Amino acid sequence: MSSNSIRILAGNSHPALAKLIAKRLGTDLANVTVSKYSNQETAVTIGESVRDEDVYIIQSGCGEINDHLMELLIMINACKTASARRITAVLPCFPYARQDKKDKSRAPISAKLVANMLTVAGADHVITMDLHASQIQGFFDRPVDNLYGEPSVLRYIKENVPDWKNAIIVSPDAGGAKRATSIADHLDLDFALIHKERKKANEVSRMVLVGDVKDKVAILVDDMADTCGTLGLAAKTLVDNGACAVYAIVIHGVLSGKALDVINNSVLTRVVVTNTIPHAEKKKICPKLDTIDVSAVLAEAIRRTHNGESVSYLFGHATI
Amino acid sequence: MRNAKLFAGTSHLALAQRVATHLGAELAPVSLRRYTNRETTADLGCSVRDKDVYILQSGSMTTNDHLMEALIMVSAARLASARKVTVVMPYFPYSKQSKKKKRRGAISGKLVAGMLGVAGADHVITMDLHASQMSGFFTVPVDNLFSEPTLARWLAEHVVKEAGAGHVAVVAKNAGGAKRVTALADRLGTGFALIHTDNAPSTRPFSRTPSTVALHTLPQTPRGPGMFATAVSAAMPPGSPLRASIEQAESDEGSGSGSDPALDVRTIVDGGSKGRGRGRGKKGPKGSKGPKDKRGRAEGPQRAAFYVSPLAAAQEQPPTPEALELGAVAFCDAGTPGVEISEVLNQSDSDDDDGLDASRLLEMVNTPADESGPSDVQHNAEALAQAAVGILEQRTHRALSLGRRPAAVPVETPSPSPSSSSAAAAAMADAPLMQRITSGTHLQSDPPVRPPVAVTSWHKKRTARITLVGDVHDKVVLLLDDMIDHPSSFLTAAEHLMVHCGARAVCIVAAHGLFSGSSLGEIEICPYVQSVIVTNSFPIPDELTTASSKLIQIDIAPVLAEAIRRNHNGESISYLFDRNPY
Repeated sequence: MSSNSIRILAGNSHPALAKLIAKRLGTDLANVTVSKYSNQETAVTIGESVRDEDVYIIQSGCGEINDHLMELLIMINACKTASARRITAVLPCFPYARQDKKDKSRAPISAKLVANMLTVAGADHVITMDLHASQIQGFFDRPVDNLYGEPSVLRYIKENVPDWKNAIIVSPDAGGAKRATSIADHLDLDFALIHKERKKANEVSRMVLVGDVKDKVAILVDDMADTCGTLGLAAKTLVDNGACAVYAIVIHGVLSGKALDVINNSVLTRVVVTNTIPHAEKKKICPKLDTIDVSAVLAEAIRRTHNGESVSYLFGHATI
Repeated sequence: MRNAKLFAGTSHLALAQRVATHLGAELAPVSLRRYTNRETTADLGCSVRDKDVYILQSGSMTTNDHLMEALIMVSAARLASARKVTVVMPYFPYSKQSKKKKRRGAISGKLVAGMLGVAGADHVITMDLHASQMSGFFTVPVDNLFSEPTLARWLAEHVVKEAGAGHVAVVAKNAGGAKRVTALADRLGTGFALIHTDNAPSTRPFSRTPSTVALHTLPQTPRGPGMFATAVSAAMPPGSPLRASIEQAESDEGSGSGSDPALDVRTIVDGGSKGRGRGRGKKGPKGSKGPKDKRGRAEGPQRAAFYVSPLAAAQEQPPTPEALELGAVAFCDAGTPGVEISEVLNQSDSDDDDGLDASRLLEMVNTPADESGPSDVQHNAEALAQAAVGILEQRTHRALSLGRRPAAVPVETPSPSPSSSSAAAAAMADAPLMQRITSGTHLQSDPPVRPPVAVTSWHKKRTARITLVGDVHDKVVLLLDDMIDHPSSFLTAAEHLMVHCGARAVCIVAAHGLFSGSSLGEIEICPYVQSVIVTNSFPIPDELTTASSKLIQIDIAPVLAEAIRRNHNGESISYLFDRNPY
């Protein structure tokens, strides 16, 4: 039994994060080759034995998202057929998480599809972070540990936002109000809400700020920033309403499309994202970007899962 | 409908009957019985071979029995070679348990979804799921209907039209409901606001919004929870056999529930389509039918006994007008003149999306000297329930004996006219005594000095700050959530809105009204709530609806009927998502 140890495997989506996690766990990444055949099919070779091992496969949902998902599924399946004792998929950013409900008629629930695919491929356990909706946990028949970036965000605010005691937490849409209030409660700060009003179908939407941000440092909080259009507009609304600086703190910084331009041209003082999605390149173009490292949280979750310890400690505490 | 059969479980026959009427069909005969060991059995009374079977069963106060009944009916239909089995659940049971609360929680909503699939359901039609993500829990297609268009239409016609869109605000009582609130506000063209209850241990005084200002400018007014608690001690001695009567009723119920559904049908609102939407006005005469109605109640489902038995107890010692006066006076005196606000939060709602968990709760509970222990808290809650029921019954009794239906005036004016409080006071003059006095308390500009009264709380007392983000001053507030069960968090919010934020009136609006225990009684005696508007998706016993002067039920049978019809004919359901079917 003593030979049963952690094996960390990483796909191509975010090798930097995988290395950080492996380093924290005091181990090396397992030798895996993930490549493509000329016909663009994904090919996986597990370079060492995983028989009877506790396997953790780290793959984030970002960039070439379908390729990375396929890589993950094939790696899971490869480990399954190679007699791994338990396979845990570690998805710092869960792919397709935003397609979690039939928000329109005939809309697919793709998050459920991904959950089924992971199960069919052979994942015994899933570790992820800040699911867009926690109900996604119910899409799985397997245990899912949904970690929270919130403790790390709280620490970031306390350590890196000057004058944070004069700040106000702002949610850029109504759906994120709960996240904002939770952070506001923990920091003992006020909170405000921005609502995009839709008067009529084709009318330009107006942003309504509910709450008082005058002469305060506004901290926009959201779980995901993609094109950053909402963030840019929200920041403008906040400044128009008298905020003296606007920070944006986002867990999953997808930052696709014109996001970097929008940020550079916006009144945002700083955009802070966690490293669930790689953005080393983007940082060079966009000096306003800043990073919160969550590898410690993921590493600790892996360690606790492996040792059969409670993971819920991590929900309220930032790891060092 | 050709080749279709609509079956109804016993949870909500009134709704099923109305749906059938809208479809122009009859409820198919089914015999639902209980064996003596309380196992359920279903016997479909007609052939369903190659038919589309629709089984209507809502959640109820005996959720598990009715869920089991639905599953057994589905299974029976499946085994009887039905072509397609569709379960229609206006209120989906266990839908609040849709995610893992912070640690080690079960996702029971998913379990129920799985059970329906295993039983053989091919399709599920439900309404206002607590989280729309729940449709992903099923392996079969789900149509999640919305009551919002129906509610919005009623609100637009009755509240917004009277007060004017500029004088109405839709308010969420917690951050989780913000999205729902903004959607309704957009639809009605009104403003919105958000109440946030900050449970973190506080280092500051209480409020941090404009409402702080409002608090200082307003005169001190009696506070709801304290009033109720004192009313408890004044109105009714603790220890009346409430619990026992429930259990008794439950054990009695086993034999009685096997009757043919057609015999047991009771309409919730009123048979005529005229009464739809404003069923309120139709309910009064029904209540005054008196003895016949009461008799029917006594042999009805067990919740009837819940209400009847306190009445029986009260009749042994008939309430004198003096006693009533006394209760009312106690009501007034129970103010808490303290400056520091320590709000009462109810725990029953913390399973809402507030993200509270036990350990955090423990951290947050600020225990002042007069804090009662858990058992006392429990005791208080029970006593309050008794008092609420008692007061209600007394009122009803008195009103009946006077030959008029309870509290007619506030009902007919669900939202006040924009005119001043003098008009409101004039309207109050007609209202029963209790109503007048309790409403009067916050109309007084200079309240008399009251002796300090210790606040006995509902559940747990802890220092919490209620913050209103947004403006409700001089507006009619629609306090919106997707469901209402124990109303204490609504009442706390309503109190805050009325007393500290200058709201003109507060109407509670919810899609599903569950109202377990004494909930309606608590709302009835709360002076800060003008009315509570829900759909009839969840069965509420007649005796509760007639006893409550503030409850307004909006009929959603047309939506369900239209969804069934469209489903059967293969038409698009999405039409119903933002329109009314009639």
